[in-house]
Amino acid sequence: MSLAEVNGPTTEQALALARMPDGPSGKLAPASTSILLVDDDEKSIRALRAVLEPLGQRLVAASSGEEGLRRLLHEEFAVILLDVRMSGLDGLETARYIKARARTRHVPIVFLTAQAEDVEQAFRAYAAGAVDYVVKPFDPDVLRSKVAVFVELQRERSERVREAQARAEAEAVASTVNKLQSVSDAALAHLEIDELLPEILERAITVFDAHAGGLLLGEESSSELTLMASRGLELAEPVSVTSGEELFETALRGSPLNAPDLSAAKRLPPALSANGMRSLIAAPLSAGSQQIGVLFICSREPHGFSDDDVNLLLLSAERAAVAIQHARAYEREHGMVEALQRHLLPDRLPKAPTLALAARYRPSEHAAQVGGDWYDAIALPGGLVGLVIGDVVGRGIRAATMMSELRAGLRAYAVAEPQCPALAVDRLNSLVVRTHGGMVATLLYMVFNIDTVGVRYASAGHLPPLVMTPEGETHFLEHPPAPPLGAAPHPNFEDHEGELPPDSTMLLYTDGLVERRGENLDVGLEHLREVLGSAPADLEDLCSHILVGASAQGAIQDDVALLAVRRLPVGVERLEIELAAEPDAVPLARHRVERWLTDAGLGRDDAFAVKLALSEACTNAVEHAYGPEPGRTFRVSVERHQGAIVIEVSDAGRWRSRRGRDQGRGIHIIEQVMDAVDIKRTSMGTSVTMRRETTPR
Amino acid sequence: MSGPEQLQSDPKDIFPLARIESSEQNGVRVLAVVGELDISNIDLLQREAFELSNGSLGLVLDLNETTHIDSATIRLLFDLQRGLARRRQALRVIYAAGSIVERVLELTAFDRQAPRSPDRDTATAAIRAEVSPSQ
Repeated sequence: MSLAEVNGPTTEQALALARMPDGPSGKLAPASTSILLVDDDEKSIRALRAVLEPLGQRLVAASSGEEGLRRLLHEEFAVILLDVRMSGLDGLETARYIKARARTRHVPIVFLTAQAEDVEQAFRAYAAGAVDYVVKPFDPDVLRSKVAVFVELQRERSERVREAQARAEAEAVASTVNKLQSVSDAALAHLEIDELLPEILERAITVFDAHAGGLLLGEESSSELTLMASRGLELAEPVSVTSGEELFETALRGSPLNAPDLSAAKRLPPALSANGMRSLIAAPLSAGSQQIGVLFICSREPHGFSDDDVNLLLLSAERAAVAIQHARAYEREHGMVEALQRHLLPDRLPKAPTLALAARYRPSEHAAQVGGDWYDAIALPGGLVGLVIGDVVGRGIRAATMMSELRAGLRAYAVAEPQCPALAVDRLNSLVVRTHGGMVATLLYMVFNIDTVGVRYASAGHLPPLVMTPEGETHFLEHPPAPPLGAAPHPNFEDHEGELPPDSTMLLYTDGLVERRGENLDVGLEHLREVLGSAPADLEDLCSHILVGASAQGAIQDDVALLAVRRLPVGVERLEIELAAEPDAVPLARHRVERWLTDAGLGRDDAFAVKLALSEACTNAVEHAYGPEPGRTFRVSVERHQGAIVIEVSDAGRWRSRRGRDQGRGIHIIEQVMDAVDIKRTSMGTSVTMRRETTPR
Repeated sequence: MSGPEQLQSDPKDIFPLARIESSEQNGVRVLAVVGELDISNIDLLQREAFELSNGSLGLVLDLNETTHIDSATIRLLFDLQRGLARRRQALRVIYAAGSIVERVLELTAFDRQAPRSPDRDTATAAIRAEVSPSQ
């Protein structure tokens, strides 16, 4: 096993390494150039020095071809003056070696010879321009000027190389920066952790041209890192690493890992080899002094990564770690407030026999902190249901706290004042003014009666409810404006009345659903109307449709609370109810039958007649059937029969005899509004059957 | 077939069937009933109506916003009329022509006992004229 560990370089060292260009590690040419003089005649060397010294360049002498070649190994020269006739390696052979080596091939050679013909062969053998010759005895000026040309050429060449190298270096730096930015650019800052991790991984794998990779994360001082994101790996089970495993140690140590051959690796997750990975590099994710995990990438090739890759991954991981820490911190705060808020929203809506309810709460897509939107549904005694929608202006913990107090306050006031929403809202306003000076909330509180279509509500600066009829027509339940809670010490909240007929749907919502930046509120309201008009029938689906429709109009910038309520159509089959034989049963029965009559599509006159007759029959049952005995009941049934409505009111008592002239008035009324009345008095009790032919509507 | 629906209610917690608004106009007590009247809440109106002080010229019942009445109300109306007459106080009832109230009053012939008044000014003026002809 060969796990070549790279000692952890500092950021600066790593950057310097990463900036090193690829290719020959050629040192840059010095500003002053050198001239190599190769001649086995010492006098000749002295003469050359005397001639060339005025050029001001460094002169290096070699007394043989071999020594000349050695000099060339260690130093660069602008030009070589080479004596052809030397003992040992002669000039031509020496030149052949010089031209054969890549590093010295380009160095110009000036042959020094007594016979011009000696070098003509060399001219043909070597590239023109790289070779010149001077015939001895040479003219000092000619030699000096020839060499000066080569020195100048070399200087220009050096500058070109320097420029090229500088450019290459600049490009390498730019490339490194690009890669780093790609792995950790600003766009990542807006991603939530679930989206951030795969994105970091994706980018790292692309940058390094890797085949797979993963992010292992752990909580502070945890003894285990868990694979939170992976790419290119098929995993049969969750992967985690603990103490002693290479990837865990990488995080613990805070230094990178280069595993060029996974086939022999034992302390790395087997899943990597199992997925055909042959090499891996990994870098710790460090946030400050805290190690939070490891970023690793894999290749299907052994030795798939260079040391430069390791250093670049190290830098990438440093930046990725910062992004991950930010996302985690954001998630913690957001999660805390959201949890608080979700905790305060009802986990279950109350069940009412004639009302269907569905609700949604959706935090903002953009804001860092959730707001103070809420909804509530309160089952009140006596067949009433209170629905609340509210929005505390502001965000974060403070808004959520105030929202929780409003919710609790309204719950208490709603029970105390079930029949008067405005009074409850008024009390809530006093609470806000006294305990949350400077904070403001809008709210709409509506009370539904399960037996009647009427609703009563009060609004504190809240948007109007939206109603949709069974035919799909939509309208807002407009009400006169009133200030939000907390805006005025003694606002005059009023009760408003409205209707929610059977099979109609009402939406209560917060402004996040309809408000778009730079857009008139009316546009949003109108859009909501259209969206509701095209919503599916199912109430849960309807809520989802509303949210999707609102998003389509533009990103939802604020939190949204949404409450949908529908009055259920009552079946028009026979209605049968049982009630306590007490006065309060009379309106209860009348309202229940009234709803049935509405569903049955009865006309106004018919409904009036049936309700009146029913009221009289029930009054008789309550007043006369039992006397003051408690716990007795009576029954009412209503059905359609061949175009007529038939009502039966029966009790188990005996109607007591009439007392005085008023007692027969009820029966008299029944006889006038119904087409047939049959009263049966038996030992089992009394039943009144009433029939009225109805007028088709 | 499941049994009958069991309907129960706590009367103190439902919307009040009716709200009674009491006011004084030209020495006449005006009681307006907003909502429904039946045996379950007729006591409210009865109490208010019979609390009429001896100094009052009479009583106006404004049933313009009353959405249901039945024999319980009719019984009270007859009782009121008799009771007030004994105290030389007058009764007028306000209701809209063609309303449900009118139809029930017609069914029970109460309309023949106390003529319909179209509004409060007419009703109070009629009472003043009936009780104190000299004014």
